Amino acid sequence: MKSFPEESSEKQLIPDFKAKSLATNKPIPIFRFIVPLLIQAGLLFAIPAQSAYTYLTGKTVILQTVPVDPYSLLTGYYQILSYDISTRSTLEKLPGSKDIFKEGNSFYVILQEEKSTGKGIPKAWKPLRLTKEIPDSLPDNQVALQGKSEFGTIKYGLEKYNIPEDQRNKINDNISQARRSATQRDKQPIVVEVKVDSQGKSVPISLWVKEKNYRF
Amino acid sequence: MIIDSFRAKLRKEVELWRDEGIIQDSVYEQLSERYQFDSLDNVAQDRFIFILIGVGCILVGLGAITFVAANWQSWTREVKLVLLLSLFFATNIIGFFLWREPVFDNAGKKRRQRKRKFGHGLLLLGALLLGANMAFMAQTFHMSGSDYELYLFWGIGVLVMAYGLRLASLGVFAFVLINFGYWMGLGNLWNLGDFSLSRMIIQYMPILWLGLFIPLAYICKSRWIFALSTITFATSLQFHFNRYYLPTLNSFTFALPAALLWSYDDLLFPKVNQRWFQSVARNIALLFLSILFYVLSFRGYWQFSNYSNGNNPIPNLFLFTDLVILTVLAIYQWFHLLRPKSNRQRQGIDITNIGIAIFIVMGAFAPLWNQSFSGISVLAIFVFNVFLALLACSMIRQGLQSNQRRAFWGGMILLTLQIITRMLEYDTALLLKSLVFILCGVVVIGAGLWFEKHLSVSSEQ
Repeated sequence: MKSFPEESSEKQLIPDFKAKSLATNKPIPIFRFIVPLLIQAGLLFAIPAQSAYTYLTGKTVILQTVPVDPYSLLTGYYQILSYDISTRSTLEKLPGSKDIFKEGNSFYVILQEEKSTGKGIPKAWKPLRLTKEIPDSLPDNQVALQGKSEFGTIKYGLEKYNIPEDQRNKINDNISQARRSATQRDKQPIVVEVKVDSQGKSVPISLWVKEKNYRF
Repeated sequence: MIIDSFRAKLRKEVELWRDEGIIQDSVYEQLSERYQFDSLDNVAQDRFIFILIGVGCILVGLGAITFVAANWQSWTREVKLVLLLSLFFATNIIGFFLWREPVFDNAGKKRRQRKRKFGHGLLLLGALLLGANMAFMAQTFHMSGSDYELYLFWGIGVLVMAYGLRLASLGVFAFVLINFGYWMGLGNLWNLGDFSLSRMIIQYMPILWLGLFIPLAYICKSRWIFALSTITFATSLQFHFNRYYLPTLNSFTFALPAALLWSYDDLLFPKVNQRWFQSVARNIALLFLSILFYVLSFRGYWQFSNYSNGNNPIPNLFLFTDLVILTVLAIYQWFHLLRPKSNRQRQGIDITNIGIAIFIVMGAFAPLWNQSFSGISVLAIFVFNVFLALLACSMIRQGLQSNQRRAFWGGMILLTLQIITRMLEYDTALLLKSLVFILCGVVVIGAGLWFEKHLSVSSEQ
């Protein structure tokens, strides 16, 4: 629709949409397909790139979990994990916490290794202190884990762990059993094994419920 | 099948005409060749084979899906990954090679386009599989990303393929995906987070709506893509800056879409030499102005003049780069539109342009007016209702002058909507309401009939 009168000299400037452009007989060059396909493949492989790098170059760290919700443990296809270092109150007890929470959102937790017996459930690493920037050098038994404060909760990028469908019920039963038996002690016997690389980025590797290790 | 039965009927009729002597044998030969009566006998056989193959394909497909479902749990992560990736690549490659077959064969006749359509369908399926693959990757590697990022990057992937193959359907699919990603992720901008690529994309999205899709519209010569992207641009501009609660920003967001779209001229682009999309842009500009003035004529708009001054994010100057770019672009386009041209016949057109410019300025002025007066300003409501009526009447007049249905009906609908809304908004007696409804209905019917008569009379002249 032309919403204003056209000058006769300008009529030829309006193209005829009805006349479909006749496709030439030459098929389109292949590179016009290959290049976008490669870009799409690049997008696909870029998704796990950070995780793969962390997996290959990171140090194994054990983190202690805290109960999320006693009644619904598994949501959808993944287990929602929450750690003792995800609760603000735990972090506020550590040195260095006052400056962190005043400004900005991203910070680093320095964790120290706890020697474990080697069989059965490994011991969770202890949080020592918080820093704003990643420290230049750390002793071998300490790592820096990057966390972000969002909407009042603290996230490390480790909150979702994927569990395949057929094992969901079995693992669910194990978890609720473990939690029930841990009411007397203060720490529940569910820990998560993660890998942390030199920039503080982390990726979950496996889940320990009592003595059983689930790796997906 | 309808076409085939038409051809069968036509063959029967043509043979009858030949026997009766209505047409000559040479004409019969011409018709037979044109509609390919000889191949009609093969059609039934072809169709049977086609249906059989179709049923076979569906069964094989169902079998494959069931096989995958049966073994999904027991396969390892690597096997699933390889399977999905190979399916993705296979669909895309086969689809491409089927689709790129030339349309005309060596004799110059149009070939059957079955392979091309099938290839096209496979390419769309490949775009869907890209999303499935991305979701699978995110799930398997325990990524804690958000949904909107997935949609955003999926849409960008499909868009890249659309640019490469120059397919409008892939472009629309990408548009839908990026829409999902944008509106879901818009809430994310409200909290100060760290820098991430997806966050930056959403921040500059208003300009990206234009920048990503208008070149595609030119490449595919598709008015749909142009219209969709400009409409989304106008809509997203309204909601993009709401978190800052600055009324002066609203004057920009009210004025910019109409200003940019009305003065849009394809010839301003360096390589374009035909006005492909100017009429579409002008229609959308008028639509935007109608909706804007319709909203501004409500009493409710002028009531809510209090903006919360709680935790406003303090605007960073960089965040307004897109507004600055758009304003500069709009000024440049209007300068090009309004500069004096050599022909004298453009006097009438200039009045239209200046009229639209006045509307745009009034639209920009409204938020400032709203902010400076506390309480309801009766004058403002009256003024904007007058302007809405003016817009409707000028559209009606335009439709009458150039004998176009769309302008006429657009104006009529706007006027009727305005009258009915005003009546429903304020407390009026039921009797008055019924009277107004009846009157409007009668006027609409009468105007429609009169306009159609006017059209047929003027087309006879």
